[in-house]
Amino acid sequence: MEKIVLRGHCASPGKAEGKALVSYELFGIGGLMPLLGITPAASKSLAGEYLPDKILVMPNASGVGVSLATYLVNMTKQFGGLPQGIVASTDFPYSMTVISAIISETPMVYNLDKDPLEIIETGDFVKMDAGKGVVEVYKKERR
Amino acid sequence: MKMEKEKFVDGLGDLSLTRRGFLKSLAAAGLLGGSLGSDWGGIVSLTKGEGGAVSLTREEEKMLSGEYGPGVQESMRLLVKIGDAYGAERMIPLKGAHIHGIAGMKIPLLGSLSIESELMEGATYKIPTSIHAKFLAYPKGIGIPDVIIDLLTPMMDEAWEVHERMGAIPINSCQPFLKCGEEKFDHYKGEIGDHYALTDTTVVWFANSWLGIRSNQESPETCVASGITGVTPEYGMHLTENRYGKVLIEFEKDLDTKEFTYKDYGVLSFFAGELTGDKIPVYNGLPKDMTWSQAKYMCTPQSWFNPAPMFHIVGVTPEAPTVEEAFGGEKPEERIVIGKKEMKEWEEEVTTIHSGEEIGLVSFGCPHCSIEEISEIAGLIKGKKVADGVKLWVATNPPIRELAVSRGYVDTIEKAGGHVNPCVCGGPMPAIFVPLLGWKGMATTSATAASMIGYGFGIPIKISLGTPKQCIKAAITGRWD
Repeated sequence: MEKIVLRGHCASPGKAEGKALVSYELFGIGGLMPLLGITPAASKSLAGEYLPDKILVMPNASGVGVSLATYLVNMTKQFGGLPQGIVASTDFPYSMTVISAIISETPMVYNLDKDPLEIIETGDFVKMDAGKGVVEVYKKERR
Repeated sequence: MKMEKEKFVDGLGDLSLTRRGFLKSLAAAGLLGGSLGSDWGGIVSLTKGEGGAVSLTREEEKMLSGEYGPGVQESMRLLVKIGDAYGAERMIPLKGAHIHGIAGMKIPLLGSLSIESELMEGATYKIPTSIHAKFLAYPKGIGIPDVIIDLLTPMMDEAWEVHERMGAIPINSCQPFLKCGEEKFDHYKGEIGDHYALTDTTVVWFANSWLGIRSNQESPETCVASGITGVTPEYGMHLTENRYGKVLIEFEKDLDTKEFTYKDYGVLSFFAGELTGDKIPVYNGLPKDMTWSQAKYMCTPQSWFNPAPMFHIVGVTPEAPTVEEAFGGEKPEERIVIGKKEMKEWEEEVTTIHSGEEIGLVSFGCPHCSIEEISEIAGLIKGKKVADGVKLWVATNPPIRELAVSRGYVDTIEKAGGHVNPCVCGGPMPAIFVPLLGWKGMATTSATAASMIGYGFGIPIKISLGTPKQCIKAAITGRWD
């Protein structure tokens, strides 16, 4: 299995692993709802997908639900609906994703040396040690 | 942040201690390939603990070490974590904060949803800190079943009181800055360039854009922490380079922006937010005599899609005297032109009520009404009666309501059968009541109310968007014209 290592900036420390779920459009973390998984407000293309055993890979945040994002994220956490970890491609001067990850203690790495959206595909296995900023990608086998 | 990486590779000698601190965290993250060597030992101004980057003053160090009690310590710890994550170099002192009263609210069965109780333990607010709208604390007798009010209002009162006891200013509003010409209500002394820690989209977008005061979009937790410690990490909107516009929005000749009413500003902002992704929009061609009341309708709708907490209006907002200055001398990344057709299509997209359909609720005050708006509403309804079965609500903040009482506006509206409700939400929350309580459609001036619940969350709701005149007509006749 092909392995690629990405390095980035730690937003929220911790270790995580799981299959990747890639959002190519802006993702609104405040649009996560307990029991409902990803709502159309968070991401139209991923609506209905569930995150609990996944590593969420995203470009940047959309604005949805920003004021109370951390509340919705914490509520989602109580129902076990958060992803194992978050990998985001850019730095986030505006978004609440970093704050949400810190408060919910979800490992998160961002601003990586290579664009994760180009390297990681949905279904790849991802192992991350956010504290060290390391993201290991095991590519799924091509048919 | 990429720039800083390059700087480091070029030469370490020029870097200040604090910059080194940040680089140390990059090194710890493996970004610099372990090429740093071991010259980090002499740096004393780093935060202790997680190998962070934010340099702290002696006073801030004391807060972090627990000298001022556990609440202050936890608050500082949270802010340091945020600062480290964003690569902030230092903490900056704040002029004030605006917090969500919901911070610390306990929900039946779920308990507290967040970590505020740890932040607030034994702490008081160190800087002027206002509280957000007590959005569900509706009074009795305005048409909501008592059983709902008995459940919601005490829960909200209890949560808000905690902050009042800690010294927060109970303005209870999504428009804490509303100036109504009276000095005693004018507690925000913010000047252009001052730093604040604010929460809630209306408040943050309005502060950055219209007032030119600087704040990130904070979470309820970080605002509380900033109110308690009086500082915030320096990143994002506190830095001038992040405040420039990126996308230019102009208007077709067929669209007369001078005719824009509140709803048009809201609709424009909502869809401009969708079109601009995560970039700050610069509007060129809006009326130079735009009012405070109009500007506040442009805040929350943009935030629904776009997390960049700011917009510029050329010739109107303080950081955009000219197009060039709004873009910081750079070229716009994109130019969008909006015409009459787009505005009409967009408005139809967020409204679901057509001419002749019944209206059950007319709600003003999203964001909270200014005295100018209440005066207009009172003028339109004077001597008339709200139709049977229709509710007319006007939401505002307590000082504005007080002023409206003294000018007789509240009396006029109440005589007509309406209610001027202080503190509560005038938009999305009433919009949720409509399907929840089986009311007929809702009429509003606010694109936030019209767009968020239906278009945004996908909850089916009958809602129409109009001018104050159209809304008042609907309240009197019970039908949308």
